Amino acid sequence: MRHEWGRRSVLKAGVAAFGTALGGAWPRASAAGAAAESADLSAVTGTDLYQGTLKTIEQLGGMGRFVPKGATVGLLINHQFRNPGAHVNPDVAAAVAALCWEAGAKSILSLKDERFTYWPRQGRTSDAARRLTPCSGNYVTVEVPRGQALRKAEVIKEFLAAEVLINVSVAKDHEGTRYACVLKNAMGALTYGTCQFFHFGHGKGGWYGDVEFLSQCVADLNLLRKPDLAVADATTILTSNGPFGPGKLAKPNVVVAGASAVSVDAYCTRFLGVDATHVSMIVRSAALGLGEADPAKVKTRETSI
Amino acid sequence: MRPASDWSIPAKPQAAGGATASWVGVLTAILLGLNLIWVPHGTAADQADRAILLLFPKPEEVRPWVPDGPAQLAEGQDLFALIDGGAELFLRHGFERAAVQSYALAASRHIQVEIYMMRSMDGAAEVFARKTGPGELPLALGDAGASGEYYIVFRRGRFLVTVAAGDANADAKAAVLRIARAVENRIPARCP
Repeated sequence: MRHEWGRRSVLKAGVAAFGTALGGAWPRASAAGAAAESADLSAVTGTDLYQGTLKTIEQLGGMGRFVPKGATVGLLINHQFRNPGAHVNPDVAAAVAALCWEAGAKSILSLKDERFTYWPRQGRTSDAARRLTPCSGNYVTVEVPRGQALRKAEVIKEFLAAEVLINVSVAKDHEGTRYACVLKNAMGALTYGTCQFFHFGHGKGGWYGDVEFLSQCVADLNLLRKPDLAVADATTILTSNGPFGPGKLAKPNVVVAGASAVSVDAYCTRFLGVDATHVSMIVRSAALGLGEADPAKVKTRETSI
Repeated sequence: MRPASDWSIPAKPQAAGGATASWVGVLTAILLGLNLIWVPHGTAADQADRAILLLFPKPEEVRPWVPDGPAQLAEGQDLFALIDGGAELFLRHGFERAAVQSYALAASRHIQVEIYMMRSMDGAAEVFARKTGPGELPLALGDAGASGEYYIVFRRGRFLVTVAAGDANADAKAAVLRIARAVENRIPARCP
């Protein structure tokens, strides 16, 4: 159901979002609980995707670093696509959810509706899914105070309201931006109307008539609500015909996670054979201070299991 | 996006009424495609939905794979709610309506069939050209067809169809081909 907000509500939401962008509005877990040597970016290679995801988060210092006890967690999973390599493997998403429960989350909100029976009906993955609260479709209009291209957006209310936002996406080819993963997945929280603005707001015509404008909108959106934890599934990835597929596949079998969506995305471009400095949304997001785009400058831990 | 079960038609309409209903459906699809049927205001979308649903194969043609829930339907910009960012390619080339049906085997394996009806044959050809490249092998199917490791894409008239398995095992690939041929046979050959 769509909620129409009055001007006052819009302003309040905009201010709240601005506070978020400054990093002060949302309660955060104490870093004291995290391991002293925890990394800022973690990558684990292995064929057991569930265990690989657990290990990836562990190397960051554990989920407690991101999810305080009693917190409401918003989970934005890229699971709208059914074709192989085009969506997050359910084992990866389920492991993230399981860790949130283990950290003491009060509730986990699934920000997007499940499509095409995403969650298996049996096993550990279905157990995690059963406890998620669906909340897609509850949109609010907010201003984007520091947005350069995006000034107003219609977003899922809980995308802003959740105390902790975890963006779980899949690294893959994208016909317009060449590469898509965590930063681009934030568009999953928008209405079709706002997505159209990303494509046509420049006024030049064509879905990808101005990729720079689109990329700036993506950066602005991530500024509106920066994810607290970014998780990238690079286990099976679509290397052509993205974002929907079907297309050619690669199987790096890597799960990547980090506190910065920019750093996670920059790291994952290697799986598509793309240079992060050539992906405008990464460059523009880094320029907004959303994270380090040079993987060499990020404290990274890589492991195989 | 709407599940097919929202309509007063069976969730598996291709099975309803057997061969007679199937023939009526195919004929309806042909006539709708040629714009030779006039339908009262307010029911045109329902008629078109019925017609596109009848392009899916009958359950016996798909066994041992079984339909995994009702087909999902989308018209115009609703496609965005169905396939998210994947809709962009279709919408910019004159998308009209789509039906997506998943088939499952042993709970963990699936095949997805997507049927897109474009406004014109050119629209279908443009989407086909974007979806296929050197990585796919040409396949004699419809007006043009191509196959990848685990999927088939083809176009016929103003329809663009993809049939994709979740894996590239031999049985899944055989089922993908069987389903693709079944859909091809149901699409009116001279649809403009």
